Amino acid sequence: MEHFPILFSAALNPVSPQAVLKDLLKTNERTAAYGLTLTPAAAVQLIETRRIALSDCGRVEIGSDTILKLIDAFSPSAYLQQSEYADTLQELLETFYYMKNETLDEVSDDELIQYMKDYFESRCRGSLELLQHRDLEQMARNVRFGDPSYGEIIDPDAHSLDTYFQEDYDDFYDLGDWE
Amino acid sequence: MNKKETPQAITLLEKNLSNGNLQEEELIHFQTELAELLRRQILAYTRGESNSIKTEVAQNLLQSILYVVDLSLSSEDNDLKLLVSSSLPDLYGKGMAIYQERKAAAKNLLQQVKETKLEIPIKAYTLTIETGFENFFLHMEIPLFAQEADVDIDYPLLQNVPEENGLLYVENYLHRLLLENRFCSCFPQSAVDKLTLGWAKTYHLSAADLMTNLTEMILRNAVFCVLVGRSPFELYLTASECDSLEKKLQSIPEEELPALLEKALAFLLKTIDQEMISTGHGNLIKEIPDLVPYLNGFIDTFLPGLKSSLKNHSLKGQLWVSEPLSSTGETVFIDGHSLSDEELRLLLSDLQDCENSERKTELFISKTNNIEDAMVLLDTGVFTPADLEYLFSRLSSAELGLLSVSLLDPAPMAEERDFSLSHLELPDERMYWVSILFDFLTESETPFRDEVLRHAVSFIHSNVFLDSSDPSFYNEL
Repeated sequence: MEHFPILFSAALNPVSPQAVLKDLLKTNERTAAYGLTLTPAAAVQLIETRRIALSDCGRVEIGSDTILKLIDAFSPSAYLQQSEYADTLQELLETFYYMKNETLDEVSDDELIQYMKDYFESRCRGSLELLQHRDLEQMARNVRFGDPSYGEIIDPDAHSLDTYFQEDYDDFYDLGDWE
Repeated sequence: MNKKETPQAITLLEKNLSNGNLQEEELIHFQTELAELLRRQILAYTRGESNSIKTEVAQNLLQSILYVVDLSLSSEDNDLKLLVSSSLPDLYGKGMAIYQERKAAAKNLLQQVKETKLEIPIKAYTLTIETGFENFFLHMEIPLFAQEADVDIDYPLLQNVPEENGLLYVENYLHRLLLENRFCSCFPQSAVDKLTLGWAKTYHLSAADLMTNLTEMILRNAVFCVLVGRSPFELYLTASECDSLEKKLQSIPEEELPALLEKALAFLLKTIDQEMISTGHGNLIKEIPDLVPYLNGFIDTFLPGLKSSLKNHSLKGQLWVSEPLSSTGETVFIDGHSLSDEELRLLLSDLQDCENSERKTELFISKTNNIEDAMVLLDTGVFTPADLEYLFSRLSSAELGLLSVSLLDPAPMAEERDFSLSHLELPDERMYWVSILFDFLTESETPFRDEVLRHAVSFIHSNVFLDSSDPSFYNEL
């Protein structure tokens, strides 16, 4: 089995990095309209991020469609600025592979990207922190619990703050026999 | 389930890459085609909804492709040529066709296993045959993970399927189970039932919950039945037989045990074959050539336990031993009533007064109803050598067999047993008539002598002694 990992790796990565780089730089033609472009160096870094993220998540990917799909989905967002475009794409890519694992591969690529985009635009208002650690985590939990409407995030504030504090107050001032 | 980790195609590539028979371009070509096949399989696995999957899933998919490709490769030397010169998708397609063909054959094999299924209470056996392969044969097309088999097998075989997986494992398992069914069905149902219940009792389980291989249970007891001279179809040994066999086996050098077991197994199979032929059930060994090599594997698996049990004086733990002198034994000899001391004295006196051998023999036969009395009288020396020769010539083979039990040598296999004097340590008065009996038997015609020998061996294993008062027996005397 000495050469098996080599065969395996070669079988899974038939597309050369140069071809991916070319595809990434070609997206600039579409994203330039939103004021977003990737430099060759940033594109190379993105390819490296993809490799590391896949490896860290114990995943393999055929082709490089995911990066391209993320670019196409997120580039129209009003929350993306050129200054943080490359970094945001790297984070989104890492988040994507992480969430594929967390959702036990139950959610398709396109659906996951769609949910990421929707949460990012609406509930998170461009916050990657909220997207990663609140909404996507909640969605993954829903998937794992077999909730068919896993994409619907229940607002944690639904349990009103007033009620919350009232319960707290009652506990604290539980007078019991004193009354 | 044992798994063969390295596909044959990979072994072949590795071997030829290291010895320079495989060019780098050929390897790259192979990789490219493999990548395309894997890509197709990944998309099939994710139903086109995902481009990425967990590494271990991808590895399993790759293993599956190579498993199917392996099916199209033979073990011949031109496999490498075939592997690098053919298109991999073609080889994969060929492998898929072979897979489906062999799966259909395996389904037929399961049908044969069902048709020969034994009526035994072991649940693991019944469920494995009835429902264990349902999912596997539900769909005949090749699964995404061809190297895996969706089977629920609880029943252990006499010999595990080595290093196979997927369809090849199922094929092998069913083939072996069919051999076992054919072999076990040669034994009487009642004996198999008693054996199964006996083992269950040993394990403090109900027979339904036994997780033991029936063929192994049968072989253990049948082989040891052969060694003690009992019919192997009886499938039981008594505690005393087991004890005496243990002593005999302990006296044999350990390195001779395999040969002894091989002989006993060969004799067992010969006996089964003869029984099958005589009852019109065909020739088992000729009809199933795989059976003998398969059953021979039993010796290797059984030997370590046997050796250790002989060292620890625990042979009984290796076998199912029935209650000593239980009603299951064959009654071949029932002793008659014994004479009182006074009656014996009078008879002895009358014998002394007899004028010739004929008269002595007649008196002895008419008055003696008990083997012990007979031996006491013989020990007295009242019979001259000529009297004894006359007496022995009047006895039937069964009666002589009874008198000559002590002459049997201690060889462990019944087939090899013979009369001998060298092992005997008897008082002089008994040695006197026993040695004359030995000479008489030695000089007898071979068929008659063999018959006496057969009776002597069977008397050893009988439960009770001959009824010497039964006229049908003693009339001959």
